[in-house]
Amino acid sequence: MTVESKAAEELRKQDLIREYKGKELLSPEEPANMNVAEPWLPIETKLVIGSLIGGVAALIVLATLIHIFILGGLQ
Amino acid sequence: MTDQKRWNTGMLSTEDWWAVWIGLFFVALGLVTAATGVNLTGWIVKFSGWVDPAKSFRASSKGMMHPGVSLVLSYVIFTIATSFGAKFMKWDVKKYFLAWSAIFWLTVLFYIVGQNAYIAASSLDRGKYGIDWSLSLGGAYYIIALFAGLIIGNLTPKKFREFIKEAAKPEWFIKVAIVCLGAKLGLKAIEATGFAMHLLFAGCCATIAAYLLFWPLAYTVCRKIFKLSREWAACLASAVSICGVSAAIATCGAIRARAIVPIMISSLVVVFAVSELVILPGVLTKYWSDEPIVAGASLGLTVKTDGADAAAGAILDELLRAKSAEEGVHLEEGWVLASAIMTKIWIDMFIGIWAFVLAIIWVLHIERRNGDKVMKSEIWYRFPKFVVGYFVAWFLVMGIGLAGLLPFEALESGFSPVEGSLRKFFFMLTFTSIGIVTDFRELAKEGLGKLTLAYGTILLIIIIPIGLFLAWLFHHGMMPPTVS
Repeated sequence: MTVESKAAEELRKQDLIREYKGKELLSPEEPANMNVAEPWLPIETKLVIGSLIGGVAALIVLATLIHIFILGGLQ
Repeated sequence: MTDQKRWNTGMLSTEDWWAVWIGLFFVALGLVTAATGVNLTGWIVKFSGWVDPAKSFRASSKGMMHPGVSLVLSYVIFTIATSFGAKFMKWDVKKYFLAWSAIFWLTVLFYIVGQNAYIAASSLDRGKYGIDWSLSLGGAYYIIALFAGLIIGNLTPKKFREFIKEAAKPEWFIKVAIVCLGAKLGLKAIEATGFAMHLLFAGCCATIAAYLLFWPLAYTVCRKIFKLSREWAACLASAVSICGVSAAIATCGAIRARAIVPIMISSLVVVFAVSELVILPGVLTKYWSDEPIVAGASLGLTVKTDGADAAAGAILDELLRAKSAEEGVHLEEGWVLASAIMTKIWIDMFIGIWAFVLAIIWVLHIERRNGDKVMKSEIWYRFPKFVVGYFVAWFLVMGIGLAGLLPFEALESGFSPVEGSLRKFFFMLTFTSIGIVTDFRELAKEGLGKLTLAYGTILLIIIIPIGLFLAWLFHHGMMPPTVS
């Protein structure tokens, strides 16, 4: 990596660090291993299932309303 | 999340707010023009189709001044406006000015080349230019700017790339354009209020459903199939399913992921968004031209940066109108683009809420950080402020028109240069800048292979199919108004 690209990379990191300001930021160079084996927690199941149920419910209710009040009127 | 910020934090120091100030400044000039008759917007340079290069650009108000003067004046005023923002955002103004000047004049060149009648004129327009053939590539100027930008960003000497990137700000330019687009929608809504409102509500509903379906599916694929850790999975899921770079940063902030996570994911988002921008408008025009609003809305749900989405919407608008015109139907300009931006804007608005939800879950359940508080004000800090400018411009123009405070003709003559010429030029700046900042070498970085595969897989098997379905479900049958 050349000096210029290192400098550009550093600038991008600084931008992100500003975004995180006030928080306990780990060093950008801190290895963030994406392959760490982390067990699937019950809260992840709740988050995923809850969101999916909410999504399907929203889809049914909102699509029905849109069809009754907007798209129905276009036919 | 305990750092104290005020509600007005960033008003003079962020790109988002400066897009609002610059956009509303030009909208205000349009309003004064409409109200007083003193032409404050006619100087804005307007590019149009040409065979004779001398007719490739002129002042928006025909005959107001020499075309060259209009071009130079536009350069000076846009330079002052954006440099003012750059100074407040504490950028290096000298470097910004030099790079901006290069991008401005290169964009002018790309715009002129792309508007050549032999390239852009449709079969219906050939008679107007006195030519007997043309490539009929409406919107080619956008693609020329994009590819020229890509060449600059990937193939020019490193020193030049670093120099020009100082002013390559696609997200900023597109946000200025989107605020000005609000004025266009306001003008259109005066004559088609019902349709504009339908678009607003349908876009909101499609987005709510999309949000709640995209994220959990993307997160599950990241965790279960690609075996990513939670911080990578959450940030990648937000990036691919919500709103690219800003969602990745918001999510990483919310769950306190390491800074390297959004840096790596952001580079992926940009590269994929550019690929979608090139591919999707053509595919949608070929296979979905009978549902132009559905096609437009689907872009908002599937293209993950504001710049690329608006850019793709602009190309799609041109392509669909050209195709419809050849079949004898003349669609009004801008509605397809408006549908692409409407869904994207709703997605942007929900980023803060989703980041807030994730922050609560991570603080209370995953990392169990006792004593940490998640402030509700985070929702406002994450709210995309340019949306405020968009809606202000929209409802201001529409309100004045519907209330009969000013005649439609006056509003049209005041705002047309802003919502037409200026907006399109900022779109062009966006295309050039997207190309410049898209660095395909990023994909060669260590570790990106797996992320790229995950991002591409989720985009292809989850986001695009569901996005197309939701766009159809919530918009089918909606046809843009036509012009006689």
